[in-house]
Order: sequence, then structure tokens, then C-alpha cells
Amino acid sequence: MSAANRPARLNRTLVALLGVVLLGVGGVAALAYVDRPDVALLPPLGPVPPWAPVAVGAAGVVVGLLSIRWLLAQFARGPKIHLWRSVEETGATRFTPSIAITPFTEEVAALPAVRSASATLGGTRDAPTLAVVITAEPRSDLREIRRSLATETVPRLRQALDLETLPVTVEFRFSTTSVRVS
Amino acid sequence: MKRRSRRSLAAGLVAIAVLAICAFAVTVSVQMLMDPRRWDDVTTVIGVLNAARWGDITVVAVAAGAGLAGLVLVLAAVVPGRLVIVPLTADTTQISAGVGRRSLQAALRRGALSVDGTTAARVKCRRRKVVAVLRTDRVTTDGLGDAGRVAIESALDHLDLGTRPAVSVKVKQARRSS
Repeated sequence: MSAANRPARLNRTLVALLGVVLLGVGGVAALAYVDRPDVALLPPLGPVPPWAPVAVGAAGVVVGLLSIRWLLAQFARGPKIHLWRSVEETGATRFTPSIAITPFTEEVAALPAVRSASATLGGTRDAPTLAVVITAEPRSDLREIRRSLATETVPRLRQALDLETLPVTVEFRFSTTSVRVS
Repeated sequence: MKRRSRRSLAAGLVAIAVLAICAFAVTVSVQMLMDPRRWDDVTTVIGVLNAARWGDITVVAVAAGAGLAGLVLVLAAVVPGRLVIVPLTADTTQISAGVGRRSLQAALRRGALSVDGTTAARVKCRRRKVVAVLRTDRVTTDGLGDAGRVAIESALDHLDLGTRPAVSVKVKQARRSS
């Protein structure tokens, strides 16, 4: 359950929260059914105040917009991308780190037995994370690919970005092109 | 790296339900502001709620439904779920790797199919166990199971999973018309 698996934490929190609320409603109703079945569901409160529609409407708009935001969050995948800042004598540069990893992605895609690769460099400059997705040829040896990653491509990227440490997650897939079986 | 389901389905359904309730509430509110006759409808609904008792069967049914839905949601959020990405062996570098469950299954199946004489293969992958069922047209199945096991083991070697599952292979002969 890391930040790399967005939006799992958000989903679990909100779903659990709503589940607990609904369970609570069921529990209160069960108690009331056993304890005081003759009490009215809603005690008489007098006429509806004139501000009620405005309040309900405003609350509905806010919660509705939040739920749309939640729906849209389902499409955000991978670590969150921040703007990086590098300060030198001549001035400061701000850049999205995705620019910096294009050569890395090309290098990984050029490794033997790799069909395609994509990578996201997320996090801040102080706490970066690199998420790589590699589509490998069927029957390829993943150990070989991991070895070249660990010894060549990742250290080179770390050097290029001037980072001390760079935690990397690699997700392997196999290309779905069908292989002929005789 | 290991990864489990993001619960996007549960989250999406709940979000759509909440959105629908909000849309309904906003619609009614706007109608009340625009059209005074709407107030009568709302007063009628409140009257129904005033008349209802906690012991009524409808109230109990609705409450039971809400409680059940709540239980389902809590379980959907809490139960860890199946691995979507199965972890590979951890090494000393800062690289943690995993392989997609479908890809893993396809790779093992491909290994099993590569055995000479296999016409079809079904592979089930669990955390500690791989169960493969091979089908063959051959009359004698001697050694086919062992060959299948070797092929799957070699595919596992190439993958290098974090917890290596035990492999069990069954061979089924195709039904022959006599």
C-alpha cells in the first residue's frame, strides 16, 4: 500500500468510511427495533425552514463535486509527479523529471529481450521514486534484465540526475503476441 | 514489489451512488426554490416519516439493507485481495521487481505447452502452488508429467519469484473414440 499504487489508499479509506456509516445506521435501527418499536422514525419538527433547500442544495453540490473528483482519481496511476528544482551558480532550473527519464526509457527498451518500456519518475527531489513497467519477450530471462538494470541503466540515471539513492520498482509483463506452439 | 487490487470497482460504484444521491438532492432543492408547490410534496414525505415507527417492517427491511451494504463495503476495503503483481526475489540493490499475475500465468502455460505431445494446458497459479493440467493425444503418457514439470520449473527459474511455488502436474488423455 504505497504511494506508487494510487489510488488504492484513497479508495480503501473512503469505502471503509462509508461502510462503517452504513453499518452504524443498520445497528442503530436494529437497536431501535428491539428497544422502542413504537417511537416515530422522525419526531415532528414543525414546518421546513426556508433556508433548508439552499443548505441541502449547497451541500449536495459540494459532495457531488467531491465524488466526481473521486471518480476521476481512478484514472491517476503511478507515483505522483512533482516539479523538480535544481540550483546552480548561474540560476535555478525547474523541470518535470519526465524529461530526464526519456533517455533512460529508451535505454531500457533497447536491452535484449525487452520489447517496450515506460517509466515514471515521481516524488520530490529529496525522496524520488522510479516506477518502471517493462514488457518482455516471452520466454525471456527476467534475471538478465534485472541484472542489466541494476548494474548499468539505473546507476547511469542516478548519476545523470545527481541522486544518492533512487528506489526503483519494476513491473514485468510479457508481450501478448501469440507464440506458435508445435 | 507486490501490489494488490486498487478496489477501483467498489470505489467507482460508491462514488456513482453518492453522486446520484447528490444530484437528486440538488434537483429537489432547486425545484423547491423555483416552484412553491414542491413544498407540499416535501411536507408529505416528512409526514410519512413522522408516521413511520421503528418497528415497521419496511423500516427494518431498509435498515437491514443498509447494514448489509455497509458490511460488504467494509469487507471490500479491508480484505487484502489477490496479488495483482507477484513479487520477484529481493536483491541487494534498491530495485524491487514483480511480475503481473496474468503474465506469470501465461509464461508458465507457455512453458507447459512447449512440451512435445501436449495439446492443451491449463495452469493455475497460487501463492505457494502451481497446478498444471496437460492434455495429450498420446496413447502412452509416460514421462509427459515429468517433462511438463521440468518445463514449468525452468520457466520459474527464468522468472525468479520471491516465494517459489511447488509445481504439480496432472496429465489427461484426450477421449478417444474406440
